[in-house]
Amino acid sequence: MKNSLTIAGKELAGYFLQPVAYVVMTVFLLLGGFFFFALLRYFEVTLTAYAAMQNPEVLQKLNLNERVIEPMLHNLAIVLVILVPAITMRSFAEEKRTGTYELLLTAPIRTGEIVAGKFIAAAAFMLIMIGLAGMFPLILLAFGNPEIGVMFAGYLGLAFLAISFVSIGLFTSSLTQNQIIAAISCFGLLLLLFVISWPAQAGGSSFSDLLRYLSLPDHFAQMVTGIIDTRDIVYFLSLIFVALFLTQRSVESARWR
Amino acid sequence: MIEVKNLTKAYGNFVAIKDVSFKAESGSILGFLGPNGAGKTTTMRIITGYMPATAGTVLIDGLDIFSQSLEARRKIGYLPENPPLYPDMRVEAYLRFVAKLRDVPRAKIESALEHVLDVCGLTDMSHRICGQLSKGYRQRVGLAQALIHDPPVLVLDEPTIGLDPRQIHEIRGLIHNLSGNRTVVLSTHILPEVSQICDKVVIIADGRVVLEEYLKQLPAGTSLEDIFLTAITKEHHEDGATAEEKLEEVGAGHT
Amino acid sequence: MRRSAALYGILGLVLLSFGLVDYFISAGFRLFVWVNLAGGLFSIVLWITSSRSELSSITTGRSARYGANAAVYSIAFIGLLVAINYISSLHHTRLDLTTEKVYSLSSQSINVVKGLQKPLKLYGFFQGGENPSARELYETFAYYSPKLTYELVDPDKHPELAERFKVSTMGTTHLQYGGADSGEGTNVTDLTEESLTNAIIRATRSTKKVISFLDGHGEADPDDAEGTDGYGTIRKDLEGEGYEVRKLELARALAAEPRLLIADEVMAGLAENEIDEVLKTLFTLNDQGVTVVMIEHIMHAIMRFSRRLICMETGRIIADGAPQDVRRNPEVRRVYFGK
Repeated sequence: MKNSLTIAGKELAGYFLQPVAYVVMTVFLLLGGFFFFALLRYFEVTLTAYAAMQNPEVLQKLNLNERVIEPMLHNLAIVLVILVPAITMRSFAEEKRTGTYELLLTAPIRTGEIVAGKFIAAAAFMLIMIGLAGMFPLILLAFGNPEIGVMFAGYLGLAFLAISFVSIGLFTSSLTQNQIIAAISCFGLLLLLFVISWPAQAGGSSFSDLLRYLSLPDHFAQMVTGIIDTRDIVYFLSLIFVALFLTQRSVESARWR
Repeated sequence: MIEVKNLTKAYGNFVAIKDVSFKAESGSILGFLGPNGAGKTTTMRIITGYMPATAGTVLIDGLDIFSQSLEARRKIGYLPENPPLYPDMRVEAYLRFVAKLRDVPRAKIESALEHVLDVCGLTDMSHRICGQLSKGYRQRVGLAQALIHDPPVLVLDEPTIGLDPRQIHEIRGLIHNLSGNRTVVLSTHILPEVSQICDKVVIIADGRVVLEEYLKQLPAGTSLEDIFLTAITKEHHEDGATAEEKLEEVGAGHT
Repeated sequence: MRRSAALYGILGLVLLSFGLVDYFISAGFRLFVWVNLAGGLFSIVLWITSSRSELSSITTGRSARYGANAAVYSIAFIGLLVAINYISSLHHTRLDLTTEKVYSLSSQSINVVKGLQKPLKLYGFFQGGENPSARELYETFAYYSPKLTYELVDPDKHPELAERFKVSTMGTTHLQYGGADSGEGTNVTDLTEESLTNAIIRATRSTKKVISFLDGHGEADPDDAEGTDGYGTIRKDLEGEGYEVRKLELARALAAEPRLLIADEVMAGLAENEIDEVLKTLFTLNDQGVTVVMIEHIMHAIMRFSRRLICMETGRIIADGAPQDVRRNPEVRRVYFGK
């Protein structure tokens, strides 16, 4: 455990010594801010339009969460599909390139500790980034009356999503020396998880149920609408565990191949 | 001490090393000599546990590197062919990191760090960023990380490669002073290195050991160079004479 | 040679996966599947035979053992996770954090759903077989009872279902209670919690209630519509209201799961212990929720049994109430006890 934390500490510090991390964070928060601003403006326009039309029914139904926070979170999820591979691509691939992989594998530490350390660092980075994006709900709270529970569930969903993305990124990075390959395969896998339920209408019913269950945006959407369901949590945790398990297997394989 | 027995490593049909065996005693320095591509690095990597052998065993102070991997690795300090430095880290931070990974007790890290910086001549460089160091200094940092946990076994893969003569001299002096009661194995293709600091030599060519001998017991008057050249061209001898026999021939011819 | 051998292997795997995926998607073995499976197998055989030496070194020795080990662990681990996910999808709890509890049902709806005795299936007929808000609504209901399941149907793809369930408008939900052949079910076109709950109530009530007539000794015959002694006219009236009527013996009465049992003078001519037997059975039935109307003049049986007693004389009701009170009624005493 101690070794995992040592590695995690070094990795996390390492993130901030490189420009990539800063670029990623900036892009994420900039886009988040843009979405927030655009959605909020549109909301305001809609609000005034319905107020002018003297339509109290619809006015009541207009919800800050539904119209601003939810779409923003969905958009940020898509942004993460592109940003996460950029962050994780170097985690193992870089080590192989600089020769420090040899250092880690010949040190008296378990491969599980290496994987855990890198995971903790990457997850922590994601949490920092998402935490910073929490400024948007705070702004809303200061000026409006959004539902706190729903926003909390939404951000929790985004955190789970980001951490599962990061695990998959670690996995693809462990498979290759080439960072570009690591990034592109991570991107491919993440995209696959987003579209996997598209053929669900065509198939027989239990197969399409399976596809629908595997669909990541479905689980994410549930949390964004304010429901914390154990099913969704189990799904995300499973994704994380499978990716980390496979990563550990992949790193371990150097020992016996 | 290190005991290597019948080590073989094959990649599909290509055999990198075959039946490599030798012994390195504690308190001595063993020179692992061979031309480029002979299989030196492969052997070093198997000894330190980075790669598994296809067949054969390695015992580090009696611990099998494959089945008792974790404990065996604790005993080894390893400088790979390319010093494993993190380009963005500062020297001091890097060495501290390695110290923690190698289970140096918390209280002793500072003193170990100071000692190793001193021994490797890095005291002025401790705040520099690894990626910005010259080749010579990088080699020294690599050596420092191999030493920081005071391991009983040291494996150094081409420790003086790419250094200028002054640096080479310094490093060799360093290594020579290290033996104490440690086991040191260093691999190289530079002959004077072996003759100057090693106690024992193992010559490897085309993946096979062709000679294992104490330097003191080599025929008097023969230069290591002759021995080396004879040994590595063994395959071209049609009578299948062994290196030892050839050595006698050469030795006899020189008197 | 080695490189092309590897290509065979890859080609083989690709073809095999084409075959497998198509099998699942088109749910059956078509020509496409067979061709791909055969081609895949052939390719793999080619690969094995042309790289035999490599494979033999791979499959023996340390690498192979650890490789096989790792593969087994991986499959076991993934299998475990699949099982966990499956179980979690069947048994899950959710926390609704919206302030309006939009995704939870009101307590009345929850009671209705939790009170379901038999499986209830919702069929949602929507354009293209998909409607996210309907799915969400059904899911909210399904959360409260494992007996409630749902399916979204595309009426264009399954017109026979639409016909069978008499669905004529898009956006209709059909509720089928107790299985596919247990009656016509209920249809509702509104997609709100309220209308769906009402539909469930209607669906669970529409099963035909059974009333059993117990054929004792000298009972009136429900099939006898002509004679003045017959229950025929009552039967016609009851049937007219949609109830079924059956002539039964006591044993068969229990099997029919009646909601209402009319026992007409079943005690007549029975010995003491037989009366006790009958009373015991009627008590049991009553405990199970069956309403029992006993037509008797064996007083002690009536007193023991009844919660409510109605006394009649020459076509008039002369008393109606708790047995103790009816007993003390002067009219009753005059008619029955001759006082």
